[in-house]
Amino acid sequence: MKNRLYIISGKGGTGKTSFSLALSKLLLDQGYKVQYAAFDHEVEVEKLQSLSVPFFDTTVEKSCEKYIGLKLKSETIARWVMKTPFFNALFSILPSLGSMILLGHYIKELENDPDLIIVLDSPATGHAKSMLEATYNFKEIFKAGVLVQDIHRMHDFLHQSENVRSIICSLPTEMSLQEAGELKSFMISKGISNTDILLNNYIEKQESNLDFLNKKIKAEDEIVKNFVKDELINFQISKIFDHSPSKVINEMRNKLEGVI
Amino acid sequence: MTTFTDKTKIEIFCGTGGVGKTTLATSRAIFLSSQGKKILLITIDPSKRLKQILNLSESDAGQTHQVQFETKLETSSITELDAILMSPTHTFQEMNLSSEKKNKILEILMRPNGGMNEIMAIIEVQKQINSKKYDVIVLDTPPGKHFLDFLKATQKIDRFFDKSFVEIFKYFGKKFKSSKIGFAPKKVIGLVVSTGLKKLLKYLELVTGKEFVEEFVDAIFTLYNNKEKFVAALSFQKFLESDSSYELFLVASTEQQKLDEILEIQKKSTHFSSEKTSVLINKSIKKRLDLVDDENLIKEELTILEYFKMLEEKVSQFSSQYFGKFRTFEESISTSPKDQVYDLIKEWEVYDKE
Repeated sequence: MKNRLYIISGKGGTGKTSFSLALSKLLLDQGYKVQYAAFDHEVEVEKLQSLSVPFFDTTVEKSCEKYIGLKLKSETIARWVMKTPFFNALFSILPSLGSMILLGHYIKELENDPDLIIVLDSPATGHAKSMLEATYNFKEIFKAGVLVQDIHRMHDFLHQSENVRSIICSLPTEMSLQEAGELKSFMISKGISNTDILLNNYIEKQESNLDFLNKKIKAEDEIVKNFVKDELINFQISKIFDHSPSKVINEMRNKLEGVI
Repeated sequence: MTTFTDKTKIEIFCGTGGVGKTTLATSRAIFLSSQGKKILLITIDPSKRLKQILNLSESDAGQTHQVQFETKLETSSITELDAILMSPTHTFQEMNLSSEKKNKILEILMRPNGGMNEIMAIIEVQKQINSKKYDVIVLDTPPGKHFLDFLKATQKIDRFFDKSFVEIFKYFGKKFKSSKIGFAPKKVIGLVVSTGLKKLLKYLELVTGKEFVEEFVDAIFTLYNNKEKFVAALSFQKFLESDSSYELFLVASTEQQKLDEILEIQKKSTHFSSEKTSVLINKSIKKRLDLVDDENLIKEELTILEYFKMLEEKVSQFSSQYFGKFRTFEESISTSPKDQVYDLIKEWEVYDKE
C-alpha cells in the first residue's frame, strides 16, 4: 500500500520541485493515479505537460471560494462574499487561513478518491511550518463551528502515518542539513511522524582531477559525515550534471527507483 | 506621520531561497560596521539561519542585540553591530496596543509561524528607520515571492483599513466615545448587526461559529483603535518611492540559477528604481574554472567542466542582458558558515573599492 499524500519540503533551492516531479513520474510509471500539487507557487504548465505529469490547477483564491461556497451551500454567494472588501482584506491579512483551506482541499480530494495519490510540492521551510501550524492555530481560534470539524478531519488524515509520507530535501551543506533536521523535529511534533531527510545534489565521485571539484567533494564529505553519523540522512540522490530540466527530472526518477 | 531621517540608508537583500542571501547580508553588515558605521542587521527570513552565524539564540528573537565580530581584516579586527532576528510576537508586543483585554485571535496569529511575519516585519523596519539610530540598515528579506508579500504588506495594511471598512468603524468609534462604553465586544455585536456588516458576519458565523465572530469583532476593534500604529508602517512604501537612500541587491547564484524568478521579482517590485538595483551572483567558481588546464582531463571530467562553465556563462549573460549593475562573488571554499562570512567580508572590501 502506497502513501496517499507526499509532502516535499525543505530550504529554498534544495530541489523540492524537481524531486516532487521525479517522484510523481515514478509513481505514475508504477501505475498509480497521481496528481502533482504546486501549492501556492505558480505551476510551470509547459514543463508539466512535457513530462506528462497531471497537476492540480487551483489557487488559494479559487480554493477558498469553493470552500466557502460549499459551506454556505451557494457558489454565487461565495463569489460575492470573497469579493467584498471585508473578506478580501481578511484573507490577504491572514495568508495562513488561505493556505490551510488549500491543504484541506487536497485532503478532501484524497478522501473522495481512494485511488488518488497527491505529491505536494510544499513552500520552503518557514512557510511550510506556517501551513501546518495554521491548522492548530485556527482550531484554537475558531473553537467550534463547521470549520473546526473540518480541521479535525484534516488532522485525522495527517496523523495517520500510513497516509502521509513527508520528505525533506537538503543540499550537502551544513546550514541546509541543520535546517532539515530542525524541520524534521517540527514535522514530527505536528504529528507527521513518517518524515525522512533526503540528501540531494551531492557529488557521487570519490575523487577528481579537477582541483576545484576535489575541494568540493572533500568539503561535502566532511559535512555529510557528521549528519550520517547522527542518522539524520535517510536517503540520497547524487548530483545530475545536466542543464535540461526534463532530463534532470527523468534521471532523478531513475535514481529514485532504487531508493524509495 | 513620522518623517524619515535623511541619514539612514537601507540596503535590501532579496532573491530566491538557498542563494546565500543571509550570508551575503550578514557579511555586508559586518563589513560596513568595520568601516566605522553604525549598523543594524535585520533578518526576517523565517528559518532564522542568521543565528548560527552571529551566535544569537531564539530567545533573543525580536530584540536588538549587540554583536561583536572579529573581522580578520587588517583595518579593524573587532567590530560591533546591532542585529535583530525578526519576531512577529515581539514586534506585536512592542506596539503596545491599547485594549481592554488581550485578544486571543491576535495573540495566536502573532506567533512565529502564525503567518503574519511579512506584515510585522515591515512595521519593525519602519520603527527602526524612525529611531534614527543607524547609518545603514541591512535588511535580509524572505525568499522569492515572499519578498513580494513583504513589499505588499503596506498595501495589505492599507486595504485592511479600507475606506468602506473604516467608515463603518468610524461610526462605531464615535458611538463608543460618546457613550463612553469603551471596549465591550458584546455590545459591539449589537452595533455590527444593525449595519451592513450584519449579512457578512452572518456568513462568517455559518463557517466559523458564533464564538469566533464575537472574538473576531473584538480583534477588529482592537486593530482599528490602534490603526495609527499600523498605518505608520505605510511610510516605508513612501520611503522607497521617495528619492531616499536605499540600495536593492538581487541575489542570484551560479549553482541555483532560477533566473526567471529573479526577473519576476524585479518586474514586480516596481517601487525600486533600476539605478538603485544591482545583481549579485553568488557562489561563482569562475576564477577556479579559469585555472583548470583541460588537456590532461578525461572525457567524463570534461563533461563536468563544461557543465560548470555553462552555469557561469548563463548567469553572466543573463545579468548583462537585464541588469546594468552586477557583480560576481566567488564561492567560499570554507565549510563552516562563519568562515564563509570571513571570505565574503573580504569580497565586500574589494567591492567598495571598485
